[in-house]
Amino acid sequence: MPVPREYVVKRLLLLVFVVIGVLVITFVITRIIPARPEFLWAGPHATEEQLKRARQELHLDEPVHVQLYYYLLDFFRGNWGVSWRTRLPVLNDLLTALPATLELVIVAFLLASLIGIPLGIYSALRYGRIADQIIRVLTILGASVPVFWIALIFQTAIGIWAGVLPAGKRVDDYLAYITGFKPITGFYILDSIIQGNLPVFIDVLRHIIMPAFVLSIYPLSLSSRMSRSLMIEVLNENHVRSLEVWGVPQKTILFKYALRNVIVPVIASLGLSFGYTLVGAFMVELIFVWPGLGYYAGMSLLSYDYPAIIGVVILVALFYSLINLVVDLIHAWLDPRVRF
Amino acid sequence: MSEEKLLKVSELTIHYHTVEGIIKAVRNISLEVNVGDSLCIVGESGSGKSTLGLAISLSLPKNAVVVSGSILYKGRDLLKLKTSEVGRYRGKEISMIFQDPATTFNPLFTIGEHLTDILRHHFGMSREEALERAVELLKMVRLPDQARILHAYPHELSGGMLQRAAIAAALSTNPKILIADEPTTMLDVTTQAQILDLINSLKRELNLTLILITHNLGIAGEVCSRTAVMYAGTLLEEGPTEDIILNPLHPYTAKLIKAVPIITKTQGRLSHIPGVLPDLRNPPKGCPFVDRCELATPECSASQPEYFRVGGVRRVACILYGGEHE
Repeated sequence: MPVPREYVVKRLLLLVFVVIGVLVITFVITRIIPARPEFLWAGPHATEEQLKRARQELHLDEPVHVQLYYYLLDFFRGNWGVSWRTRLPVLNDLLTALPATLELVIVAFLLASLIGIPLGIYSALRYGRIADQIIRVLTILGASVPVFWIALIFQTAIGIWAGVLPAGKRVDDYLAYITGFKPITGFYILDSIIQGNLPVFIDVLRHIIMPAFVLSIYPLSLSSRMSRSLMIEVLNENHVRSLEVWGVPQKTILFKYALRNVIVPVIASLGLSFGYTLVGAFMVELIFVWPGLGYYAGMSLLSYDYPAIIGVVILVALFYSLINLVVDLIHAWLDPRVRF
Repeated sequence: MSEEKLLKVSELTIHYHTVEGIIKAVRNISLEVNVGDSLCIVGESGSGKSTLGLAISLSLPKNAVVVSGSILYKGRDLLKLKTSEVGRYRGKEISMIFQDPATTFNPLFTIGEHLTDILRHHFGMSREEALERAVELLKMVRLPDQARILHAYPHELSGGMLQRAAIAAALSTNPKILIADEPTTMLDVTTQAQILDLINSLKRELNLTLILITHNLGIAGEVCSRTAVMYAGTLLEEGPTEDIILNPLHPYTAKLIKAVPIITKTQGRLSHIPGVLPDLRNPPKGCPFVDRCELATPECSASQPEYFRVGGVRRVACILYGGEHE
């Protein structure tokens, strides 16, 4: 169904308020934590004098609302502050880290939907048989085992003992250097295709497949379990029975009609967990030395790097809201009952 | 027999396997339907009437097991069809419409999508041919503005419109038999009458054989020439509808007719049949109605009563009419 333009505009305006709200809350929370971030700025061997100067430079002695005022002033000029840890503009840091994470998360979600949904449907069609039982046990495991543990096991077994796949990083630096590979978009798969660089393309795929698969295990299990229960439910619906009675072949009923009833809600819930995974990928990024957003967020948190933390939170809030909007639009496009 | 039987159900017994045990939904039912007949199957919920309908339309759910009996259609036993042959009968020779028109169509697809898929499968039509035929079908069921309805999703149409569309879908394959399972139960009273009128006139126009499943004896009186009364999975009596309504033979039928409220009469209390349906996991050995029957004798619970012919065209499973055996 056609989406009214006012609706999208309204949602985008709402986004501005969401971002401001998130910004204020995060700002206030970071500032009222009893921590002394000036040590980070002034260095470990700073004198009392240097620390005092650092507090002044960072406005740490001002009241919180004054600090917020300075920050907002800069923020709306496109200046998200300077990271106290990397000493680079936060926005630059974020835009460098974002493509790495997006690439990882996109591949992970492709795997999750392309494997998870068919697996769940297959499981539903074999309801109660051995294949169904095996898939159920595996997906319960997948949804409940902590991701860092799976990551470590995979890295050790496949990356180190078997040595079949690289144990970390995005690309082999030496190979990238001798083939003259240059990041353009920051999405290495895309970049290597643009430059027609086949060796790097293969190398990038070999690097991404393990962390992406590890990251996909949770959404994969979730979408599989959801597709299974939805399919079982749909097959008991009256409309499936009526098509059967009217002689429509089983193949058409399953893969045209019932499939859509299953896919629409699964895609919607996968889409929503996408935004969450951007930073949730932290553990996986840390273990596989993946220079992404989660890694950056984790490091910033551990070092009280306030501007970086706020930057990450705002970016994720922005992404989350945008993805929410996109998911709603896709949902409306696939399900005619959705009204605005 | 002068006329060839179109459909002959013989001693059909169907069980459902559920977690709570085996439910004996249909027990030892025999029925005959001639070409052009209209037969009503009347019974309370849980009497097995829908199961019988699904069995005839070859659409029993997976947990249903046909224990014994046969369903002969033009002399061919539908229960012994090979998987590859089922498609030639299901939907094509015998079609069906259901109780709740709101859930008959998939909510994510248009009415036109449903209709064209049926037509394209059964007749190998192209998309355009199928759409043309779909418009004709919607005209046939007296739906106005066919183009709009083809592009409408189920939630955009009323119950009555959806039931008409369902009739169009069921009749799109030119079936010989239409089974209507409580087709008007979910509709309001004025729409009910329209849908029944439509079914009646389509039956004449297309020379359909109609099996109408209902719990409402009034509907039986309006539509069907013959009526079969079911109770707890068994057939209690069968005969011309008029005779059954005016002069019910089986004590159950008599009580059922007494329980129909009369709108012009102020009744203090609505009459009902005391007692409950027997547990179908463990149905009584004798007459299933024995616990609720005032005329029951010890003989009634001993064994299931046989059918007795009454007046040539009626039969009833009650020992009160003992004498002339079928």
